[in-house]
Amino acid sequence: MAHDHAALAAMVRPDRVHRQLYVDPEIFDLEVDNIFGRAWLYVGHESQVPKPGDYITTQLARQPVIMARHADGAIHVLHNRCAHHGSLIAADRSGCVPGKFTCMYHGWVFRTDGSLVGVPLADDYEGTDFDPASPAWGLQHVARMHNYRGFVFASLATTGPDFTDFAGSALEGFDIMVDRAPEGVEVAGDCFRVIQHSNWKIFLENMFDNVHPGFVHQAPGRGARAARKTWPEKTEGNLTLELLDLLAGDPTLLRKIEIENFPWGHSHMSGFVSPRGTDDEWRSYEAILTRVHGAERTEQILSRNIHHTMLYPGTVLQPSFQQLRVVRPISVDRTQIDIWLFRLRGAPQVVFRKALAYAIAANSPANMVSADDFETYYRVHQGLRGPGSDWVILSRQAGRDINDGDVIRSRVGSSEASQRNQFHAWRQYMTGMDA
Amino acid sequence: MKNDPASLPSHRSVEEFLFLQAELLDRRRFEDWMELFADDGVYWMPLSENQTDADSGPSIFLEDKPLMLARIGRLRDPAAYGQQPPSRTSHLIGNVMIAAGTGYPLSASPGEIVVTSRFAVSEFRRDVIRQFAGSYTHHLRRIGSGFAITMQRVDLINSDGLHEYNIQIYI
Repeated sequence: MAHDHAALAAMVRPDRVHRQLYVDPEIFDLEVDNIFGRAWLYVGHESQVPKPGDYITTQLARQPVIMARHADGAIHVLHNRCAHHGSLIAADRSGCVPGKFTCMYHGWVFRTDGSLVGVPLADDYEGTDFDPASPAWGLQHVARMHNYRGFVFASLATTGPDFTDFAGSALEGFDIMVDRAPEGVEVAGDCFRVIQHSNWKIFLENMFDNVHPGFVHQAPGRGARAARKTWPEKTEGNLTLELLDLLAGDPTLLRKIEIENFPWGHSHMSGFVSPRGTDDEWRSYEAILTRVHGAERTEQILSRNIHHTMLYPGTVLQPSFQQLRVVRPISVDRTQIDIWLFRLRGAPQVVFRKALAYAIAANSPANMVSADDFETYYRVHQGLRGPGSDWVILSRQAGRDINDGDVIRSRVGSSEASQRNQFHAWRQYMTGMDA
Repeated sequence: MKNDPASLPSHRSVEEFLFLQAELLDRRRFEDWMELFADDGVYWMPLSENQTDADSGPSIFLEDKPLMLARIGRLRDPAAYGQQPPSRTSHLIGNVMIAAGTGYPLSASPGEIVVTSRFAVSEFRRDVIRQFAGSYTHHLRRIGSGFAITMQRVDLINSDGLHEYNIQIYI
């Protein structure tokens, strides 16, 4: 076998990884099954299915799924596959059914909890093993699901850590975001869906690379500074221009960022753009939060500025600006990112305006930041196709990280501790071996 | 507000203005293109065709003149790596209608007209040609014998679809 466990394990060293991990289609296929097929992946948010009969569809690893709200209010994550001939049971990205899904092909009918209602011409099945009362003849549930404060996750594997053990300390990012909402969070509008022409790992590594902005994002930064100079009053407090400017700014700023790394490849990165305002509308928001949580917790929630919370390998939350990115590996050199924006219910409009500006500035399919990131990912992927040189170096600050229980803290923001931690998890998933 | 037919500009003058808008983009005269906008003008590409305002949910583009200047600054910058090589574009505009019942609940302010049209835009970059199609809704403020754009709404037919590449250019 070309890629036995020993061969795969040898491709991950403590401070470098082999280029084949990014460009070999066979390794990609193994990743889809062994990493995405086993990890807890984000499915959707409960606010997307507010009423019984509401559903969304998505795909986890290779498995098309439906997340549906049943008559009793429970949310089910089901294989999007008719129990009969296998057709998708729901083809739209979202919708509402009157309590039942009907397969377009032969009219089999299923409830939103997956159970079989009935089939046409049922007497044709007399004398066979057909058993409409058996769950085996309904839509199958994913192996495991977990609703964490409205965020629905699923694992396609029956074994492995349960969700809270898997997510561990990284759950703080979700807690901070939800606690910032006086009345809970909800999805705002449709998601952005964009394709990167590069391997999925290149994107995740870049999320925690605080050295690249000073090189990759200079151009929009200079553009933003020109705009501020031309219209100093009109651009006062413009979050987009501030973000573009900061990204291209003093590299020592990003060195101050703290990165915490957790088991299973997860990481936190502290923020460099604060969502906190000083105007009356923002102060009214802080007053609302204080009534909900008390002054101490409110200060804790608002001063904890987490730029990224990553649940490896599929979920990147930006708690401070209420964005959630879902990583969907399509092929070895194609990666789909779905980007969701959330609204904090009960918060004044100023909070949403900032999140909206951030979404358009940094996450839209036309944003000026990713335009150069995507080019970087493309060039890295193309460069790694060549067999002439083997290793990708991840040794910035190697050996200088701080081990604190099961948390690995970077000494400075330029550390590649997160990238090393991601590949540590990669090796565990792919080979069962600890690094 | 309905446009007053008696005071409408000539169809030809409106078309010429929209064609100029397209031509300036295709000739990469971005600064001149931006000057077609009023100082309070906005370039807006919604994520969903039924979006009636830009404040309720995400948009693909939402740019006032300062943000346009930042984007143009990037497009001109030698370190805009995503523009190595630069995009080449070709905009075609047709089906121009003044004050048509557009179905868009965007009402014009006094002194403005609403013009709808269709576009077919091709972009070529690094051996790949991409097609964009959809509709424009222009709010044009009349200034003397000319116009200033107060709103250029761009609805791609695939706005909520899967975007295969980052959109770096103005459609």
